Amino acid sequence: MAKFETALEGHDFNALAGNGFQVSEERNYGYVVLRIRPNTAGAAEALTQLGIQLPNALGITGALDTKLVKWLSPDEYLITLPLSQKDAFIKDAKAALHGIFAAVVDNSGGYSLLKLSGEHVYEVLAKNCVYDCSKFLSEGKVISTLFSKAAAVIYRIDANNVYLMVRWSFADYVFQALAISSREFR
Amino acid sequence: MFLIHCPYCGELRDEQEYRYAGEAFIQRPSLDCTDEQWGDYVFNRTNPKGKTVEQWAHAAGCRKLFVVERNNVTNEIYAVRTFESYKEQA
Ligand SMILES: [Zn+2]
Repeated sequence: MAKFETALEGHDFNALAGNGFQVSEERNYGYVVLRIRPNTAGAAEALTQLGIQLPNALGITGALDTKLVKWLSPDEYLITLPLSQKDAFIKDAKAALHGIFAAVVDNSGGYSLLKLSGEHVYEVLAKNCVYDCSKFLSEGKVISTLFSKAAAVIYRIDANNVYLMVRWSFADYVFQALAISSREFR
Repeated sequence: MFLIHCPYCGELRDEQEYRYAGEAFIQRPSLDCTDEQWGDYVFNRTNPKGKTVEQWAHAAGCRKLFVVERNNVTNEIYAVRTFESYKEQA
């Protein structure tokens, strides 16, 4: 098997770390996009079989160590799951959704997932986002917005961390933006 | 700052997340139309001053297209609606 590398291979995340702000890369996850309308005939049974509960608008269900299902749009859900379980899940999902108007697409490798933490995390986000994360990004909520000029999916599943997912082609740009905007907190 | 409410996300979001997508409800003529009708469909817009009915896409958000009834002089937004809501009304 080829050597596993991410878009941020060789970037020094320790150089970004300070007392009040830290960034780490979450490397071992797969990203699967599920396109389905929740009211599609047969969808409920198939999704139950897969152990998936579709979240409402801007919502999240499940957990990162099993399957984290995030709402992206009324008919689009992003499933983040451990990379080792990804291929099996896609196979199961395609079998369960066979004959139903839905699509399962493997986007692993298309994205970089960053975990931001520290007391200054919302100040760093505020410098880059038009969305007021400190006020409106509550726990269990996901938003698609802009991070600086890059399209990003930002979500919170616990009290201490903010997850930032960007396309791998924007990962370096976002890393540099984070480096600049967190400089005063180092 | 210009904020638009997305009917799918259900939140006010900054204009930078959106992309303007032109006048709404332009009817595509049938394929046997005249060149004048086709030219009108492709190029001519009502271009009013005041109330406009236009399409916006939540490009950096849910990526859905919806309808904004807006005053293009004052930027006052009268209504933000999904295309489905017009169908239900008709
Ligand atoms: Zn939206």
